Amino acid sequence: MDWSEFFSMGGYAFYVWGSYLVTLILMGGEVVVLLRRRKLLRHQKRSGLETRGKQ
Amino acid sequence: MFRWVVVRDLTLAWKGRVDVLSTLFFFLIVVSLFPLGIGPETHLLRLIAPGVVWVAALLASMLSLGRLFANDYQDGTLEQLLLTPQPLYLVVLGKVMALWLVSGVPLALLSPVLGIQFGLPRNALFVLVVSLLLGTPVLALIGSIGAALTLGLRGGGLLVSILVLPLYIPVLIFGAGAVDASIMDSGVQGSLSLLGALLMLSLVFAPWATAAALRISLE
Amino acid sequence: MNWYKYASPTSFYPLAGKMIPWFAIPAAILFLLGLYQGLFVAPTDSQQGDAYRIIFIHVPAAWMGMLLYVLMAIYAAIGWAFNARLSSMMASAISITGAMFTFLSLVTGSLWGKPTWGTWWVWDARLTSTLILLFLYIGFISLQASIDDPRRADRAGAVLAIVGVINVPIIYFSVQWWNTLHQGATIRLMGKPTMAPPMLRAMLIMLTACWLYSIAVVLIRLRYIILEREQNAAWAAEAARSPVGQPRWGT
Repeated sequence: MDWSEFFSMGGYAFYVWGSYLVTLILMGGEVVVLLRRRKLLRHQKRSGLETRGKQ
Repeated sequence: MFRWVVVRDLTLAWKGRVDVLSTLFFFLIVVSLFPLGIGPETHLLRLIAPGVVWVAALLASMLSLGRLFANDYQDGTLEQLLLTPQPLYLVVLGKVMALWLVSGVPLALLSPVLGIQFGLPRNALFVLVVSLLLGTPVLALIGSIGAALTLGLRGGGLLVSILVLPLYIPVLIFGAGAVDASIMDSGVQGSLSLLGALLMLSLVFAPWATAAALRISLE
Repeated sequence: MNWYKYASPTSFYPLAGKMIPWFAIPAAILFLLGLYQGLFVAPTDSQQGDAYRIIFIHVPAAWMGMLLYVLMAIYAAIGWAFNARLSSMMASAISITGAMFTFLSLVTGSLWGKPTWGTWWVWDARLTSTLILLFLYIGFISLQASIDDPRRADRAGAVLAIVGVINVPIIYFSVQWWNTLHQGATIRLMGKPTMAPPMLRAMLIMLTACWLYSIAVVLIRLRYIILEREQNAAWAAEAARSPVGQPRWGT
C-alpha cells in the first residue's frame, strides 16, 4: 500500500480530505453540542431544585 | 362579509396612506440603487432590469406585509374577526386582496417607468406590467402565511423575510423569466402561464394556511 | 403490547435511551467500513481521478438533507393533527440534523466542484435547490426559536413545514426551468464518474451509516427536548440529575 499516494489522492488531497474533515467537524460538532446540552441541563436542574427546596 | 373586509381595509389604508406610499417609494429607491451600484452602461442595465425590478417588487411586497395583520392584532379586531361565523378563509382573502390593491397594483403600474430607466423595449415593458400584476397577488398570498405565523413575535420583519423569501423564489423565476423571454422574443406565454398557475394554486391553498396560522397564533 | 403508551414523552424517554446505542454503534462501524470501501477499495475513476471520492459523503448528505425535511414535515403534521406533543418534538429534533446535512452537502459539493468544474460555486439546478432547502430549514428553526410558547411553536412549525414540503417540488421545478433557460453556464471539465460496483457498495454503506447516525443523534436531541419541556415534572428533574443507574446516553 503506497501511503504517500493514498494521502495525495491523485493530487486532489485538499478537496477530498477537506471534505471528510468538514464532515468530521460537522457531525462531531453536532454530537459535542448535544453532550454540552446535557451538562447545561443538569446544571439548571441542580440550581432549580435547590431554589425550589428553599421555598 | 368578504366585501365588508375589503372595503374596511381599503378605508383604513386610505387613512394611513402615507404608510402605503412608503411601500412605493421603497420600490423606487431600491430599483434606483442598482445602476448606482453597478454603473450606467445601458447594455448591462437592460440585462439586469427584469431581475432587479422583480427583486425590488419582492422586497417591497414583503415589507407591506407588516400592515396586513399587525394593526388589527394590536387593537383586538383580529380576534373579533376570528369569532365571526364567516369562514376565516374569506376574511383572509379579503384582507389580502385589499393589501394587494393598495400595494401590489401601484407597484405593477409604476414598473414601466422604471423599465424605461433601464432601457427595456416596449414589448418588455408590457410583459413586465402583466407579470407583476399576476405575481404580486401570489406574493401577497404567500406572504400572508408568514405574517400570520409571526404575529406578535419579536424579530418581526426579518423573521417574516427568512420564512417567506425562499417561498417567493418560483414567482421570481417565472416573473423575471417572462420579461427576459419578451426581450429574447420567445417563450413569454410559457412563463406567464406558469405564473398564472402559481396564482391559481396560491388562491386555493394560501388563505387556508394563513387562516390556520392565525388560529395558531391567537390561541 | 400497548404501543400508544409510548406516545407520551414521559414513557418514550427511557425507550429512546435504550435505543440510542443500537443505532450509534452500528453507525460508527458502518462509517469506518464505508470510508474503507470508498477510500481504499473503490478504484480510481478514469475521468475524475481520486477527486470523485467526495461523492461518498456528498451524495448521502444530500439525500439525508432532503429525506429528513420530508420526515420532519410528516412528524410536525402528525403532531399538529393529533395534538401529539412527542411527534412535534421529534420534528424539532430532526430539523437541526437535517440542516446540518444540507449544509454539509453544499460544502462538499463545492469542494467537489472546484476540481471538476473549475469554480467553487456553480448555479446549477441541484446545488441551487439544495441552497434553497437550507433556507427552508433555517426558516423552520428560526420560527421555532422565536416562539416562547412550545405548543404554538410546534403548530406554527407544522404549518411552515407543510407549506415548505408542498413548495419543494415547485421550487425544484422552477430552478430546473431557470437553469435550462440560462444554459451554458455549467462547463464540466470532467465527466461524471460511471459507478462501478465497489463504488455503489461504498455509497450504500455510507448512506446507511448516515441514516443510523441521524436516528441516534435525533433520539439524543429528542430526549433533551423532552427534559427541557417537561421541566415541571419531578421525574424529569430526577433523570437530569442522577448519573447512577441510568443508561449512559440519558444523563
